[in-house]
Amino acid sequence: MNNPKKQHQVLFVDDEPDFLRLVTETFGLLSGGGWQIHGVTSADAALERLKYQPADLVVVDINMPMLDGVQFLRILHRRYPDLKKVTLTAFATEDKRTECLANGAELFIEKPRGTDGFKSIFVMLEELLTWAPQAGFQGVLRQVGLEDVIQMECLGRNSSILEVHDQQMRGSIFIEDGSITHAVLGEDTGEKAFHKLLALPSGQFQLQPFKSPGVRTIEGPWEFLLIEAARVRDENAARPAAGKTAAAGPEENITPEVAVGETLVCSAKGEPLYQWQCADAVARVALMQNLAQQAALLASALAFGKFERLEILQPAGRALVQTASDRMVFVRVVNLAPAA
Amino acid sequence: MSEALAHLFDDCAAAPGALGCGVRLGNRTCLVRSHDRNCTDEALEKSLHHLADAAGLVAGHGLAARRLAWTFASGKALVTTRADGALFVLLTRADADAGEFFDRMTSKFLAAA
Repeated sequence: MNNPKKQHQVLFVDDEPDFLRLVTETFGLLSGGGWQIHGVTSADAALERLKYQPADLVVVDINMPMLDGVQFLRILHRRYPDLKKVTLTAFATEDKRTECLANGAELFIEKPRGTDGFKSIFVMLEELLTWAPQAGFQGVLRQVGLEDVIQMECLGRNSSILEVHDQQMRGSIFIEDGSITHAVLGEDTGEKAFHKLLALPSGQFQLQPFKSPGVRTIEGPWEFLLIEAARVRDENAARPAAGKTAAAGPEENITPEVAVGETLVCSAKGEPLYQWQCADAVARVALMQNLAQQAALLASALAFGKFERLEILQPAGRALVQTASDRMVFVRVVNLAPAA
Repeated sequence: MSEALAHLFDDCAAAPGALGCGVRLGNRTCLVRSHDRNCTDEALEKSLHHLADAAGLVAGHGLAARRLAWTFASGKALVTTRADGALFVLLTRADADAGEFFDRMTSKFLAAA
């Protein structure tokens, strides 16, 4: 009798024919015939092949000539949003990782070196191939952080529950149609719980199917929430322990009495995507574009790497500017109560 | 360099994760001190000019700033400006939080006018 198990169609896109031969042989053996492996040496060939031969998984080398792997990934994601995509690279950088994950890759992994490397990548890819969305996601996103997952879920306008836990605590973040709507951690809910969960120095998370919590405790754009959580985490990480361990999370009084005074989210080209109480969006966009240019010059002069954010501390509040490859965010918060 | 600025630069060596510091005066003259061999005087000078330009942009958009904190993947730049147009900058590693330290140095910088 024939083996009734479905054979996974896996397409590798890499400009090195030797590498393609190696993965075909190695993963063919490791899968025990469970994978039908195809290899092409260019993005064009991959797109042509996908027209008549659907694949379950495409593994892309991001350092290809002609059409850059990230550009290819973007095209692939636009044409085949449900296709599982993984990027492989010999030169992994944080910037590339972020870019790939934002453009539809579910995993960003370094090219294998040696037998053990191939085995561990095979396990990851096999897990990805057999993952069923309704079963929840566990343990595959090895190089992806909590913030990355939240960002991916929000950008994809998904609905899901992110269960986060470490050895001492367990909490959940609810994302509905791309908005963070609720978080719970012990007796804490809302932004307080959200900040504490994102401040955990280590732990595990699982993406679960969405079920409505029946309550909304978090409002506002997710970009601001992530920026604010990063700021709170940085502040608390730098604060002396004072008898508390890092795993105990941020101190109780972590949320100052502030209110959002202005928010603007725009595309990389400066088209406003979301604005709230922004009196002059054009001026703000110009400011962010100019600051992004200065940030690039600074990063180059000082070899500081990727620009993350600019915090402008004002007498009665502060403003945050964040620029990324696909968008720019400006948030201004004002103090509601005078500083003690 | 004035004695007050020389003391300020000496003190900055004790900042958490200190990489370098500098002052750009109102006449665009730069005074810099590196605290890390990878942070060259030339890079510091360049960064002072970029940070001064950026501070001007922020101020030009009506955002009064008592401090600007730039965060990059592997470094931070803390910046403050004085009424006479002078700019004080402290560069640190990204994992260091020198905010409170910088505020103390800012007081000295303002007093050194």
